[in-house]
Amino acid sequence: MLETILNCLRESAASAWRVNWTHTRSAELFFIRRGADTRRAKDVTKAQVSVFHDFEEGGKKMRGVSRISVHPGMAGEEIRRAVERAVGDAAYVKNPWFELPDALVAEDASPDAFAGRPLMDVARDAADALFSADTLGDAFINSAEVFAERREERVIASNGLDVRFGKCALKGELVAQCVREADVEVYRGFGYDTADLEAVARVAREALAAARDRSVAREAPKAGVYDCVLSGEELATLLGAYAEKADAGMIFAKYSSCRVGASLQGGEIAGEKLDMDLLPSAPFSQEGVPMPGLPLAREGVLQNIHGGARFCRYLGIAPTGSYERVRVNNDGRPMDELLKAPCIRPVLFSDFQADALAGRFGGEIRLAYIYDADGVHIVTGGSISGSLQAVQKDYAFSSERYAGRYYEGPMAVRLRGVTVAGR
Amino acid sequence: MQVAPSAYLRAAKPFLKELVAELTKRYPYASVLGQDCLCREYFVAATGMGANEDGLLTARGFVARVYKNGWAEYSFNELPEDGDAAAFAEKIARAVEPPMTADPMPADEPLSLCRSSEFAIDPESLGSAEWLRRLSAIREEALKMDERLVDCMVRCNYQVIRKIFLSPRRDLEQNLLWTSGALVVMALRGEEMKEAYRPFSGLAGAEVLENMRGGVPGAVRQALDLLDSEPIPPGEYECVCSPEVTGMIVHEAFGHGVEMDMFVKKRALAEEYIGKRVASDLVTMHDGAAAASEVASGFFDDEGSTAADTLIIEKGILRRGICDLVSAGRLGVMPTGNGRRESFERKAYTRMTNTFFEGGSDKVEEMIASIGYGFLLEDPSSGMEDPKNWGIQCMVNVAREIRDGKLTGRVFSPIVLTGYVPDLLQSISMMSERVELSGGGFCGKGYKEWVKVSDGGPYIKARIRLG
Repeated sequence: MLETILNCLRESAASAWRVNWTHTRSAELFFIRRGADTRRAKDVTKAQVSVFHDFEEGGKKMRGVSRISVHPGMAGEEIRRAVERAVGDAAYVKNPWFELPDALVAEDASPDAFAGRPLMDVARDAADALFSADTLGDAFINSAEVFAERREERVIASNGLDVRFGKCALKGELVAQCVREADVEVYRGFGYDTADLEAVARVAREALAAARDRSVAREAPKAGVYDCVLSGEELATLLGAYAEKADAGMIFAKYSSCRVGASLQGGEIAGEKLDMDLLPSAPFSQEGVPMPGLPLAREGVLQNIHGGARFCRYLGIAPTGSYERVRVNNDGRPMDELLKAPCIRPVLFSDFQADALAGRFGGEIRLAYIYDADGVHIVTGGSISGSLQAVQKDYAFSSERYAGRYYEGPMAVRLRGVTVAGR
Repeated sequence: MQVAPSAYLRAAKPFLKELVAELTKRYPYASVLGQDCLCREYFVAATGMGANEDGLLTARGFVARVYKNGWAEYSFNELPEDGDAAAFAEKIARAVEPPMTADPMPADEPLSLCRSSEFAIDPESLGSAEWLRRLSAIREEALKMDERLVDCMVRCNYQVIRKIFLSPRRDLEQNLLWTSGALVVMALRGEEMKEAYRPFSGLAGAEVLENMRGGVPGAVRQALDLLDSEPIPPGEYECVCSPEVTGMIVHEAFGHGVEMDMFVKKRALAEEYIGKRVASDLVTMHDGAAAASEVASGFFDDEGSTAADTLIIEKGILRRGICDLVSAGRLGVMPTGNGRRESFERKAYTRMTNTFFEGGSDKVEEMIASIGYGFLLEDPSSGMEDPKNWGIQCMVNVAREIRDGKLTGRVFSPIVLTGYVPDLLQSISMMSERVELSGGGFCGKGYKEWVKVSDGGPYIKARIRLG
């Protein structure tokens, strides 16, 4: 299929083109309690073709692009027609001209993260690790899904760029249930680039422990304004908003006012000044640009903007690829100190969200701990909401660390002035 | 006009029939779902223009499903060049074996069906130049209305969905056209971007564009209103919900809770409430691919079960849930045509389609006039289900203050709706006549498995905790 696509593109009227070819195989296990629900396997090949067309509009040089999918089983003539259509469509996409990434021929030589093992074996091992934590009796795994995936990717472009790399992913989710007092459940997702079985087991242990606590939680927190300790994936979501704000497309469109050399946290920072890096999720971007990682912020000041070729070129910088993962290098105080009363520590939300554009964050609380003069109280229900612009001036981080799929850094942060809706 | 069938699927059909026959030599039951779906998306924004095929919604491939006490599936998108169905069946058997689960054998009642949906304006013949011109005109019209606007993102896509389902006794084909679009009007207040979102959709073609144009003034007005918005004092209030907010409550707060694969897992409180009161007697709720003409409409689901109009709540009493084929077997009920996949690459789950409350008899003006102090809720942004505990989390962009039966002009944003689902549904005391559905977005099962759905209902008056 790939050779046919390349031939059609070479013969087309496209000014430039790129092919993103992927071959994905997976083994998928689904469970209800400890019993198997369904088993699945997948073997799918895909090609996304981006066709560029250069033209002039009002004396200005333009470069339109149109992206199509080419499927296995498409005959040469069908591919040719699809490419011709895309070339025609790109001629109406009136975007200013930009230079595509430089040519590069490279292959990532990293060893297979699953050591060449059959995917079904990797999935079974992960399921065993997950259920190894299921020993509590009144709190148990209600259902789970495990996906072991191996993917080969290749990016080929008209300027001679040709990069290849492979990627493994072990991912899934579980629902922990506890019937100790109230019958409750806790959802947890997981995802790793390696067969990290210890991490899978840890996710299950934490979910089961949280389900036990949620089971005895009775009432919602009192409404008011609190110091709030956010941790784990919710902290990852909150701080991930900075990577989003530093995206070249957001800045070009003026949705984000971030500037390199300017404070990422606004003026008058009383708390911790952010020290952050952007981490790669793959060795190359979708455009074939190497992604070694980039400093994002030092002393709270933005160091780099990141993004694809079009927006980076418009902003006068070299394309970096779009980053999704961040590492926060700030250190802080031990958790015990961070949790000094009075404060609220929500640890489970139904769907915590941080809106990088609006600068708002919040969500409904499924489980939280209130720290006050009388001790620690477990609560459920209600919600938190806050403004990123307001809380970012006074971050206090924990010294304990956390690593998730899109985040590495302090386990927790203490935020001031967070509104809690509740009793 | 009617949606034309897929030449690719029709050409593949003889091999797929042979594959089902070969698989049924090994397994008591087998089926194949084939899809050839194309989604073209056009957008215009400050970031530029786009005319692309959507990578998620454009898909061509197959999933073979086999049953022997339990279920296994194999997703693929390359047919063997030699056309050897026996060898391919052997390959599938080697790749994945059904687990021993004592699931019952599906009935596989005989059915042959070939249906296509209709549309007024062919989106394909409109051409990309015209699509982009019309979207650009909508954007320009919006931006001209106020200089405080930062952008108006305008996007629209049409999905041509062509599917076949083959089992030993079923031979089904459907060809559908769903079109959906959105306006996102953005205005800046200091460092804070305020957004107004308006969805548009239908079991239709490019005629949806006309509705988008009509939605511009309202979206712009809302974005500008948000510039003066303030955080809401947390509390429980009398609220009137717009049909979009009603739709989110229907879908997130209750709909997910009646997906019967959750009954199988003992994850849904609703199972214990069948035949019992869960809402005020004003509430009657439906779901089904045959229940409305919207972006989740069709003739059969991804497991070969025919589309239905399922009555879920009747005058406040929970009658039944919605069900996929496998869960139906496990629960001993009939499937309701709700077995849906994100694509051939993903597992089928019980999923909603078009989900809505029936209308009532009140006028919107009377509903607002009946409130001493409360809010008119508009522009839902997201929600998350909690079928086990019936907790609500819905995010809404706009709460318009009502005092002494009149809108005061004060706007609060953003708003988190929380509470206990039956409390909210039983507090519904008024409902407007007209039912409106919209399907601009996607629905996930938990945090993945995205499918198009529509939801809606009338304006409702209820008591809701806001924060």
